[in-house]
Amino acid sequence: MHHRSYPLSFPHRFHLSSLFSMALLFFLAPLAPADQGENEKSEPQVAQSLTIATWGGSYEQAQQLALFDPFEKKTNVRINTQYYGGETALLKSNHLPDIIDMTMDSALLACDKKLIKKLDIDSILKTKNARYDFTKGSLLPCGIAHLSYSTLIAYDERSFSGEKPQTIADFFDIKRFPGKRAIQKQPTEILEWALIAEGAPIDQVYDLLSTERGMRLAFRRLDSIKDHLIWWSNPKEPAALLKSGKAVMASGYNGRFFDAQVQGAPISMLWDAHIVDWNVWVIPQDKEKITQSSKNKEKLIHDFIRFVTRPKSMARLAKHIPYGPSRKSALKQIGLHPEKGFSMRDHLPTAPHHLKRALFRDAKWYARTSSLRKSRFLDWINAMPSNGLN
Amino acid sequence: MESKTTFIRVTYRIIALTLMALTLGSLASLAAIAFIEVIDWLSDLLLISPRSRIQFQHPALLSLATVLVPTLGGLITGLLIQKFSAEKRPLGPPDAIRAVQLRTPLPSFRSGAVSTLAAMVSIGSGASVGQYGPMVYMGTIAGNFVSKLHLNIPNLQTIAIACGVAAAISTAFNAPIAGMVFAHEVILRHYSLQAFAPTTVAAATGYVIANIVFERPPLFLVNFNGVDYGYEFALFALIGIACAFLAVGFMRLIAASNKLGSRLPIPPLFRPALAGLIVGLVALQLPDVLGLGKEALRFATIEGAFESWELVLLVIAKMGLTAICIGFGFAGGVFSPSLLIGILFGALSWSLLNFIGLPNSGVVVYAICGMMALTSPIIGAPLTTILIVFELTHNYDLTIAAMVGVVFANLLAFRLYGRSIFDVGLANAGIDLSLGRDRALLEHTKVNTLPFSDYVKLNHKISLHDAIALLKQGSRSAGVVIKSDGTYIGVVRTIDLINEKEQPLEDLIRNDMPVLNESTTLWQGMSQLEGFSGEAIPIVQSTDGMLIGMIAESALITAYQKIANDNRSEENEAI
Repeated sequence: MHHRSYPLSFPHRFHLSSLFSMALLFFLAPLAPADQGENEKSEPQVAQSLTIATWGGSYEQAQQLALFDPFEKKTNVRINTQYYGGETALLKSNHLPDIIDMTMDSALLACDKKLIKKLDIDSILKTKNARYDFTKGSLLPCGIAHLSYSTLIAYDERSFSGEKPQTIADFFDIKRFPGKRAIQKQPTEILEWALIAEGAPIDQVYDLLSTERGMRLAFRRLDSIKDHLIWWSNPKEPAALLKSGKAVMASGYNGRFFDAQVQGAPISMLWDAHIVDWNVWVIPQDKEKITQSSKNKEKLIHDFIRFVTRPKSMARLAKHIPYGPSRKSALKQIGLHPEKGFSMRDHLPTAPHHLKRALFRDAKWYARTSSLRKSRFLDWINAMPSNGLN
Repeated sequence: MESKTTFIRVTYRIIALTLMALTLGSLASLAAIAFIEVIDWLSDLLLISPRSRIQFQHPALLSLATVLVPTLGGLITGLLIQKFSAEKRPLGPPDAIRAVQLRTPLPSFRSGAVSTLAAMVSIGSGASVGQYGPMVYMGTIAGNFVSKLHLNIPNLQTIAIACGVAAAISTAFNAPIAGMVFAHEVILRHYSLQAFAPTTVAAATGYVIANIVFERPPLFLVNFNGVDYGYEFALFALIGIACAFLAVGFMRLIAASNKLGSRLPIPPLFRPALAGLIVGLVALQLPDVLGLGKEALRFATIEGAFESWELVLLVIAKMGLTAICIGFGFAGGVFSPSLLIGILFGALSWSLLNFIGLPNSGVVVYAICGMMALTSPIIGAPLTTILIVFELTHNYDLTIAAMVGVVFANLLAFRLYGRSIFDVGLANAGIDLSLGRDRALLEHTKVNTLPFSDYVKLNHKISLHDAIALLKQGSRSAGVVIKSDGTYIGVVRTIDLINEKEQPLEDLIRNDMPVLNESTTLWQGMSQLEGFSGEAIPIVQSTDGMLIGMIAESALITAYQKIANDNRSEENEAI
């Protein structure tokens, strides 16, 4: 489903299953020599590979160009990817990836449930004082937040040639801006947006959404557009739905919409009440016994995380897709878009002109209210007369 | 030469007062921010804030905490106040007003610190009391502290306290103009340039620290596009009138609860705990009543967030619980509860309009109008409340609307009850500011604190001849006749004795002699002087009739003049 190019030595695209069997092989292959107590250099080079679970689409393409390819080139370790769309089921599966690129609230929740490993940040980063280069709150017990992204509303410019949507309240205004709205079938951003559209100030959204009254108001607002909703599940869908005209507005990630814009799609983003969140590198907890090979693997994983969280790598990624690096020094190094040549810093979620109406997601609140929100959302969906909307 | 020393003195005062204002502004502002932070932290920790409650996943434990936390908070508050504070009551704006208006010392620093700590515990554990009163008092403590420095500037205590208070309010509401005006309207009650300038500097400093250094979010953000219909201004006035009645009812309720509290057969130490228990039990059904109610305050400006009956219920519950909490001894103010009750009442008024079907400009303006119209008569600060709206919302239309409500509320409530809950409280404690500061000062000064004059004592048994001799010896025109045990009988004038035939002294005493006692105030003393001519007036113990001393008429007049002069010079001082 996702487009990515592999190094020359691997001309074929892998299917997930083959990736898993490869991964399995790599676990097993070094067992024999490692048992002899040899050092890692003597291991066969072919056994070196890592599987990264990440989000597919233009985001993964950017990661491939900015992070994975350079890492492969430098270390001769092959990077395989596996699609991850935020499902916690992945952590309970038998085929764990080596590293996952998670949203912060999922990472906090997974860490609480001990589904991902606690990290010794300093030993991973190795560079002394590197931790002070990270923005506040990006170093977690179980992960390293590496970039900020925004979830926001984009609209099809062709559908609104006259008056254009400008505020989040316009997303809920079917009269002035008729047409289908595509959102994720999750109790996530939409609740915040519904409450903001009701008049809640951005600063107080989570305080208000914590009350029964706030929830009630949010769902009441959602009710007003329920007949105009269609659902998406893969983050690359929103832009496609807008392009095809199936939806006139859609929620999605700023990087994806940006990419669609660069490719010429008539899409505009609504930066009102965009929700800024972090992506976090985490390592799933495996139940394997600690062996020499698993130790080697761990070292490799740490090498990878160190490599991709270097300021240079972060800045390189932000050149391809407008997601903000979590290191202050990386922010200064971001250059121009390789094709279009405009400054990528202006397109980041945290660019000064985007900050005024930004809502920073409270990941802790998200993690701890996850089941409550889910059950409320399901109740709401089930109460819909036509719940099989899409 | 003299102009040179004047120049040096004025320059010194300008520099000293400016530095003092900057220091106090920073100090009071930091204290206020820390106070808010501690309360927020406590209410998260103690499962009072909705944000912490929703993240807590054990419903049974949450219910338990809802009842136990305010109860235990009350117990700690009671313990702190009763065991560690000399006054045995929480301190607040009235104490600041008293110190400034009567130029008396503030309660001790220790009492102030204990009161502040108790307020943190009270508010943090969900009691229905406000945060601004304690913040104002922290500003007062800071001001009082600085005024102890030997800066050699007249009226320093007054100015310093006003500075601290201005900075606290400026920080709390992100509203420097309102902070400055509050200090004048509530604390100083005059507009001398000497006080005005430093107070303004302190308020601005508080604002800079809160807004620019710490980037505190504003208390309130609303969107309002203007009043659509002219007749709505009449409605705002009506809301003002309704709020006056509500405010008076609320203040009377607090007074009644105070009385009830003192009559309960429970020691004062445990009274706040009882109030906490009541709050907790109500909160099980109505969690909006817990703590400061920031969320409810916010929801009141959102159309349809509350059903009308919910608004009625909440207004009643919040009024009742606040009265109980304050009356039973929780530490905290009435300002924030008033804001909440007012805004809910405003929203209720709007929903009534909607029910009738009268076209209007939406709930926001009615809610804000109600909020300020209820609050201003309670704290006795109409200008401040109007300015708070202006500075919080930066919205001119909203300010005008609130102003109309505030004016009518204030006018009516003043007639029905008094200038503010602070002033009525002080009046009940014997300090009546309603007839002017000079009257309060005269009422506050007891005549027996003034210097006594010498006098001639005459035992009632001595002969007329001996009496005249004693008076002559003391070169007095009058003497006091007493019994052997010192009991006062009367005053005899020398001229009334001369050439009289021998008779008991009692028969010759003046019958138009005014008599003062130990509790006579300077005000009462002065009014007794009317139509009196003579040297001195006796002060007699009211309980046993013993003579305490004689006070010269001139001493009374001098004391009176001093108060008038001090007032005049303080209220007209330029620098």
